[in-house]
Formats: sequence, structure tokens, C-alpha cells
Amino acid sequence: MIHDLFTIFAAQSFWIAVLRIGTPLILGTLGVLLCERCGVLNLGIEGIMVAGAYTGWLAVYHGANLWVGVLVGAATGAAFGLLHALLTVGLALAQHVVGLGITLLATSLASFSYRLHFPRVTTPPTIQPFAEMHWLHIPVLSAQTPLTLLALVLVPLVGYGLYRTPAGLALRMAGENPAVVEAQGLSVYAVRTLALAAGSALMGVAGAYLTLSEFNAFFSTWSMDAAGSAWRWWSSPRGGRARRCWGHCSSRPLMPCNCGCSNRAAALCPTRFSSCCPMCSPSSPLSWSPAARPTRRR
Amino acid sequence: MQLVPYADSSRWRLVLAPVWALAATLVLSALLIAWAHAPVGRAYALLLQGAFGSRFAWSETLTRATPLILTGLAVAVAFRARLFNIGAEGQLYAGALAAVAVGGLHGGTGWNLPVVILFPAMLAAAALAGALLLLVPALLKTRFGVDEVVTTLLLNFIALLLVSLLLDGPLKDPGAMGWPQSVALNPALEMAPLLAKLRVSSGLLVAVAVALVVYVLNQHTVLGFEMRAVGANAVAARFAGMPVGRVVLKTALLSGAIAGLAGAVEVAGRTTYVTLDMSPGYGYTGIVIAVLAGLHPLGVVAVAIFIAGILIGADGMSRTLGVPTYLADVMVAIALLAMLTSTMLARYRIRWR
Amino acid sequence: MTPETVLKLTGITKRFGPLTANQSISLQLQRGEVLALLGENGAGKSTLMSILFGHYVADEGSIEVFGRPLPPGQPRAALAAGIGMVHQHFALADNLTALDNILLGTESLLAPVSHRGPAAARIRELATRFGLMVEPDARVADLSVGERQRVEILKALYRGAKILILDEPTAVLTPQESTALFATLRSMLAEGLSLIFISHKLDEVLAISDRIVVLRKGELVAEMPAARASKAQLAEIMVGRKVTLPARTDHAGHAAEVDEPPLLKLDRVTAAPESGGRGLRDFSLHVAAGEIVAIAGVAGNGQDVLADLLSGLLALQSGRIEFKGGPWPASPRALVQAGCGRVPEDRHHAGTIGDLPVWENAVLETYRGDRFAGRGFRNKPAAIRHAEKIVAEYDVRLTSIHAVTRTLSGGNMQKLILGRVLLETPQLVIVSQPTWGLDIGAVAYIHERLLAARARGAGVLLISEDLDEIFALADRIGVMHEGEVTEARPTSTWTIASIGLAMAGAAVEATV
Repeated sequence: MIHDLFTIFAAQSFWIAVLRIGTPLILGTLGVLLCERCGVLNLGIEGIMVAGAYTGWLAVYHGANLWVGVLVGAATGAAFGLLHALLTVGLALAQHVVGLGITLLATSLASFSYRLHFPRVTTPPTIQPFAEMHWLHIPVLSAQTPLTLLALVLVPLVGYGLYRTPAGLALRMAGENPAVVEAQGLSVYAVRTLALAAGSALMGVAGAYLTLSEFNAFFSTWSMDAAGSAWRWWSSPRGGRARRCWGHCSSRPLMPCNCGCSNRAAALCPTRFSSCCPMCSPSSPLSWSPAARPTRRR
Repeated sequence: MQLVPYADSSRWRLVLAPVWALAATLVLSALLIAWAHAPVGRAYALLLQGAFGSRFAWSETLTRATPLILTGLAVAVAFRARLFNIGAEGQLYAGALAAVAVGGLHGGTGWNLPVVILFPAMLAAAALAGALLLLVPALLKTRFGVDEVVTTLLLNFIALLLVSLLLDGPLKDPGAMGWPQSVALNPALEMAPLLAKLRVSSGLLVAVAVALVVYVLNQHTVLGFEMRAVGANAVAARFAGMPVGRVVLKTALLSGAIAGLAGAVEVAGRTTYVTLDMSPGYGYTGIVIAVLAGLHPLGVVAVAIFIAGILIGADGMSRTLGVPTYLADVMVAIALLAMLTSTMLARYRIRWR
Repeated sequence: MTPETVLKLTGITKRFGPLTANQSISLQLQRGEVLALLGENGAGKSTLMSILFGHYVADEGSIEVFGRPLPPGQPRAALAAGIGMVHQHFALADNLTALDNILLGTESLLAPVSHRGPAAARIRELATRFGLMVEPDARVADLSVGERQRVEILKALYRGAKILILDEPTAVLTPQESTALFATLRSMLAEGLSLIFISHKLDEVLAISDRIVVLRKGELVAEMPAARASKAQLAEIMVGRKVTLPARTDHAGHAAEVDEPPLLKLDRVTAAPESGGRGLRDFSLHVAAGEIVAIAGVAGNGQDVLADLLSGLLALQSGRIEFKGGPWPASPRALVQAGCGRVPEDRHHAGTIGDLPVWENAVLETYRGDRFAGRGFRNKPAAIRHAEKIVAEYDVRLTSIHAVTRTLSGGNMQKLILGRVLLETPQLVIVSQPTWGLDIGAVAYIHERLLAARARGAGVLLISEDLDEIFALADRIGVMHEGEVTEARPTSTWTIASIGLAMAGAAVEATV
């Protein structure tokens, strides 16, 4: 058992998977951090990620540069952040209900627009996603895309911004004691609105990572638990077909691999989990879509 | 931008608030319909027809409404006492699991108990499972002041992963060709359809009965009064001698039980087994419904049927006009935000400075 | 040096609905001068300073700072003009450092870097110059109250304030800290700053200020050089108005019951509020049947702790409370059942539930009893009848008892609470600020009812900041100061002047 764990932790593929799965979480969490720190609970993150994933991907699908796609995702996030700010900061509505409303709105708008653009596709249209940074020649990092690098660079940057700049101080103060911000001649409305826009933009980028790097397509079936599902998504071999796994083998690198390979843990499976379950297998007719599932009716 | 309460308290503004919200929803959704190059009027007409235009439409709408009524009630009960239960989704799954655990076939052996005992036992187990799942965050809230919004939300994922674990383990249906799906319920425990050849089950009656019970509880019992008082003003409730912490815990048990019951009713009335995608976010939609209904239990029934109607009606409309079905979700989301905004603006006016 | 006018307020008027908080107030401040602003709670001092600082916009009047008009309603403009404010409830974020609190808003928000090193150095320099030693990197939560106030003052000085407003600066300080503060203020004056000093404490006002302005009911009623003012005179001007003679008649009876244990007896009680802050120290008091005992005092001297303790919301730390010679029923419900009525200070937030209808608020304390409930169900008709009785007997004016309570006026809300409490014929009534913010008619009515309760033999503990009210109702008066209370002496032995001195803390030692 101990030996197995050691093998897993020593394997490069494990750390590659960790970083890959962790990237959208890093980006999304940085976004939540900005919102929390200014005193607003942003439960809209799930929807904002989906919307950012969609618009970023759509821009690239229509021929935009990948980085433009990332910017589009960020702008989408910021737009929903502004809506959140208008409702929770301006109108002082309940933060958690508004957050859920934003999630629902962003998710359904993305899906609506997707279906409008692609009414009858059976396999999701794909784009050429970010390439791995093989030129980097750093063990685990070379297998990642530039967006992972961006996420890693953003961590100290956001930390610096929060703790070492006047704007960061105002943001934290708005969360700690808004009355102080007003007494010092600043506007709590302005500070919180901008913080929400910035934080939500990061959430948008987190979403864009999913469609522009982790996968190469957008699925209209992504729904309410998108952020929660972030754990359960896994990346296919690069360039392969994008799939969504149902969660019982894919997302947890430490789960035993039941594909029959000799490796005990999924993270070490040479086929990258691809035959673990009916839905994950590239050759499976069931593919990724839950709509394709047979349902038992009585 | 400043919010200033109206000096007078006009009933009209409050009465008109939902009207404004509905109007805003229809107008904004019309933009989306127009974006899809579909005739707006016809789209709405088809939507209504698909939802309420025939016996079959009513059956489908009410089938969808059944779990929504229950999760809506679960949320309404909790929110009324200012316990922000975002975890109805997880409680629903917990209830569904408990229902199958008690009423399932257990690999063909089953419990050899008469249905008259097993059926109530199944419902009770589901209610208990949901209640216990919400009791944890409620205790954390009353004892340590932990924010229940975050704990209940995160418990949803824990519940879902627990379901995933059990569907791969003890509750796995061996005959499902590897599908993550639970054993099926004992057929004798399934709820009978209300109408011949239609899907709508007697679960609807359970849901409506629970709504009536909650209504009576709210209006006519001591506990209901305490729950409303604690929710409206905990400081005054405490001053008046109400046991605020205990009321919150009782509320949690009730709310969780109703959400758990929703899981049992879904299993016994529709699916007959548990899967990971059994609920398309019923717990979350319940929040929308409760808020739209102004937390009123009978309002919840009406709003749940209305929302289910939009969801079902959009399917038919989509097939005819090619407007994506997601229009329904967008409409629900807009309705929620518009309702929140219009109620706020009915009590406060905005002053720009 | 010729006197230079640094600040000029002209005809400032501010109304909140029917209430006039400031009635055409004009005053001037000279360079290097200390102007004291005296007045009771609700006299309009805070409103005036909030207008000056830009938190409120005056309905009429104008402000000039250093000869230039100050745009209304902009704290930023007030700060830029050189006005600094030291709030009574410090405007500080506890989780951040002193440096963070001082630095906020002084640098451009677009600046890519915060120059914390030079800022800390400048703060240390200011701190040395004015005797305000604070470690810039210390977390505010770890600082003592005195140190927090220094941070608050440094905030203003760091921004280059030329006019400093100090709102009750000594209210939360120990005597030693106050002495240090005064030394700081003198060194600031020596550097040419001007001060506005808001206080109730007459000794301090006389010691520090050059000129004294007294506000009463929103109007400026007196202005004089400090050198020509005396404590007694100031106390009388501040309290003002001819004190209406008590409408009560002394009645025989309770003198004969001396042998019986008092209704309420507090013996060397210590208690602290949940939030921290000033509590009760060594507090002893008794209330007998058929008398009204009043507790006078300036707000924030522990009255709220006393009220919470006797309402069953706070636990006793040490000492003893007895009710009719027996143990004290230490929870709200037990108190109500034992016959102890409570009227809270905050009728909107503690006394009623605004979103519930009047009839439900009428049974808020008694909904569980057999009269209004059975087998877990409520007896709605009985509750409604009871509410109608309260409304009729206590003259509550409303459109319907089914209307939500929020829509009632303050006076009617208070009558509803009073009726709810007094119809239970309690033996002891704890009343806190019962007429705060009410119009004269409602005040008279509530006084009448409290006197009626006393006449039927109830003991009343009245906690109030309104001296008119106290003299009108009380048989005995105790004065609270910093969590302690003087002996509750008969009303006839107090004068306005002596009570004013006791409220300012001057006479506590003399009377004990």
C-alpha cells in the first residue's frame, strides 16, 4: 500500500495530471478570492466558468487567436461580475440567491447560444487547443499549456496586488470594514464593483482553460455543477476526442484503475483511463453524451 | 447610488412587483426568441400549449413539478427561518439512496416485509436521511456560527460523491452492464400513476399534501410561528423568549426531511432506481421556486407547476420552431433575478447622488 | 498672530422627516483654537459633524474651510480640505495593521506599488512628534483602546489634517490615557492645528477648550469663552428647559413594606457585554414594590449591559441578583413567566418584529401559554382578541391589527409593546429609554401608564438618558458612570446641577 502510494507520488504522470486538473481551480479560486476579500460571496462562479468556457471557445472557433479567446472568456466573466455587482452591491440583494441566479443565467445562456449556433451536431465541433510547452524542458511543466503557466504566474501577482498595492488595500478594507473605506473618502460601491468584475474575469479565464486547453470543445450538457465537476473532468490524450467521464474512474488519480492494466492507480494507466468505463472509452458507442444513455422506462 | 425606503407603504407596489418581473422576463426572453429568428408570439403560444395544452402535456408538466414542489418547499421552510439551505440537491439524493436502501431488492433478496410497513418505512428513511444531512450544517451554524450557505452547498458535492461511491459499491445494480446505477425499487413500492396511460404519479399528491401541511404549520402552530419570528427578526425573537437555536435546528430537520422525501418520491414515482443524473438540479431550481413564490408554501405549488410548464413547454416549442430548449432555463433565471429586483424596488427607491 | 478663521458654518439646517436635527446653526473656528461642542444625546452634535465631514448633506446652509466653500456630501472633499475626524466608534479594520488603516486612500489606486517603507517612517516621525506611539505593523485587533485611538488620530495627521474633530474622545479611555491624549492635543495646537472637541464631560471641556458651544434639541443655545463658564452653569444649559414637576403623588405604603425583601436586588454585580466593551462593575441596586427607580447617565456607560442583563439576555459574571428574595429567573421566557415585564430600548429591532402583523407581535412573549396555544396549535381567535384589547386599552392607532408592525409609528409601536407587557400585570417592569424619539403626546401617555403601574404596586426600573423624564417619574435616582452606579437617592435630594455632575463622573465619589 505504502509502496503503491510512493510509486504514484513519484510518477511524473501523476503530477502532470494534478497540475492539469488544478489549473482551472487555481484560476477560479483566485477569482473567488478577490470577490470574498472585498466582502461579496460570488456563488455565480459555476455559471461564469461555463459562460467563459463557451465564449472563449466560440471566438476561437470563429477564427480568433487562442489568446483572444482567453480575453473573450475574461470579458464574459467580467460582464457577469458587473451584473452581480449591480444586484448585490447596488441593489443590496441577497448574495447567495443572486449568485445562484447568475449561475443559472450564465449556464443557460451559454447552452442556448451553443444550440443556436450548432443546432444539429452529434459530436461537438472542435478547435485546435493550446499546445503543450515542450520547448520548456521542465519535467512536469512541459506537459502543460501556457494557460497553466499563466495560472501559476497569476498566484504571486494576485498576492502582490492584494497585499502590496493601494488598490489591493482598498479591496481588502472593503471586505473587512466598509465604513472605513467611506470614512477615508473612497467609494465602497466602486471598490466592490471593480473587484467583482476582476474576480469574475478570472473565473471566465478558468472556464476558457477548459475549452481552449483541457479540452478542445464545448458541451452544452455542462450544467449547474460545472465547477464541482471540474474535479471529474479529465483530459483525453492530446488531440484526441474530448469526452466527459461520469466520474467513477477519471477524475481521481488515486482511484484504482479498473481498465485491466497492470497499474493499480488510474494516474499511471498508460491508456490514460481511456478504457476505464463505458463512457470513457474512445471506441464506445456510448461516447460522452448523457443523452445517448439508454433509459429504462416503465 | 443609494437605496431609500419609501415613506409610505403602498400595497400596490408590492402587488405589482411580480407583474413587473413577469413582464421583464417575457420581454428579455423575447429578445432571445427573436435572436433565434422565430416568431415571438407563436413561440410563447406553443410553449403554453406544450405545457398545458393537453392531457399528456399536463401529465408531463405535473410529473416534472412533483419533485420541484418538494424541493421548493424544503427551501421555503428553511429560508423562512433564515436558514439558507442551498443543499436540497444533496438532501434529495440522500433521500433517494435511503429509499432504495430500504425498499430496494438488495440483489433479489429484499426485506420480507408487507408493503404497508415497508412503504412508510421507505418514506421515513428518506426523510430521515435528508434531515440528518441538513442537521450537520445547522449544528455548525448554531454552535460555531459557520456560514450555512457554504456548508450546505459543499455538502451537495459530498452527497453526490457518496452516491457515486454507493452506486459502485453496495447499491450497485449487478444487471446494469456496468452502468453506475442502483438496484431497483421493489415494484410493489412504486407509486401508482394518477391517470391511466400517463406518467404522473401519486407522488404529486404527496407533494401537495406536504405543501398543505407546511401551510398549516406556518400559520396555525406554535412551531411555525417561532420559525417565522426567528427568520424575520432573531434579535426580537430572542428578546421575547424564543429558543432561537432550537428553532433553527427544528427547521433544519423539517427542511431536510422534505428534500429527502423529494428523493423518495422521485424514485418511487418515476425512476425506480438511483442514478447520478437523477436530478437535473431539482434542489437548485427549488431555491428559484421558493424565492419566486415569496416563500409561501401554496405559492410554491403554483410556481413549481409554472416553472415545470416552462421547462416542458419549451421542449415542444423547440421541436417546432428550432429555438433551443435552454430558453426555458434562461427564462427561469431571468424570472428569478427580475423578481428579486422588482421586490426590492417595490420597497426602496434608488437615489443617485 | 491675528486670529484666522479656518472653518465657518453658516445656517446649517438638517431635517430627518418631521425631526429637525440641526436648526440654522452657525459657528466659526479660529486657527489654534479648541472649540468644545456640548450637548445631550440627540442634541444634534453628531449630525452637525457628519454634515461637516460629508456623510450627510445639509438641507440649508453652507460651509467654508480656509475661506473656500466646501462641496457638500463628499467625505473626500472634506479630507482634502484638511478636515480630519476621530470617530467615537473608531473607523478601523481590526484584521489589518495600523499602517494599512492609515495608508488607505492616501495613495492613488492606480499606483502599481504602495510605498509602505517611507509611509511607516513618516508615521513614526508623526508619532514621535505628537506623542502617539504606535507600532505601524501591529494588527489593530492587538492594540489597546488607547492605541487604537492614536491610530485614528494618526490617520488624520498623516493626511495633513489642519482641523481635527474629536467625537467623545475620552469616553472609552482610562484617566491615564486621557491625560496622555490631552498632552497630544496641546502639542497639536502648538503646531497650529484647530480642534473641535465633542464631549459630555464638563471637567475635560473646561480644561482643554478655549470656547464652548452648547447645542440643545438641534439649536445652538449658548456660546461662551471657557474661561467664563462654570460646571454648574454648563450642566444647566445643557440639560436646559424648566424641569416639569413630577406628576406623581407620593403614596404611603411602600415604606411599611420595608421588612419584605425588595422585588429586585442587585448585589455587587459584574457583567460584560458579549461584544466586549464596557460592562457593569460592582453594581448594587434595589427596587421595591410601588416605586420607580431611575438610572440616569450618559449613553455608553453600561446602561445597555444593565438592560440586557435584567432582560435575561446576558449572563452574570459575579455578584447576585434576587427577585422577591428568591433566585433570579435568568432567561427571557422565565422572566416573563415569573412576572417581570421588559420594555427594550430598541423597539424596532428588539421589541417588535416589523414584518409580522400587529396581532402576532401582541402575543410575542406569551404565544406559548395555555391562553394562546394548545397541543402545539395556536389559538388565533384568542390572540386576536388579546391584540384588540391591547390596541383599545393602550390607544394604539393603526389601520388594522393584521397590518405589519413596521407600518406603525414609533409612538404606537411603543404603546403596543407597553400594552403587551403591562397587560400581563407584571410585578416588576424593566424599562429602557421608553420615550426615545417620541412626540410629546406619546411621551405623556407612556409616562401616565408607567405611573399607573407603580400605583397598582409594581416596581419599575427606568433606564433613561432623558432627565426630564427621570425627574417626572422617579422616586429614587441612581446615576451610572463607567459601569458603576451611585447610591439611588430620593429624587428630591438631586438637582439638575448635581445630577449633571454625577453623569460627568465628577460627583460619584462625593455621594458614595
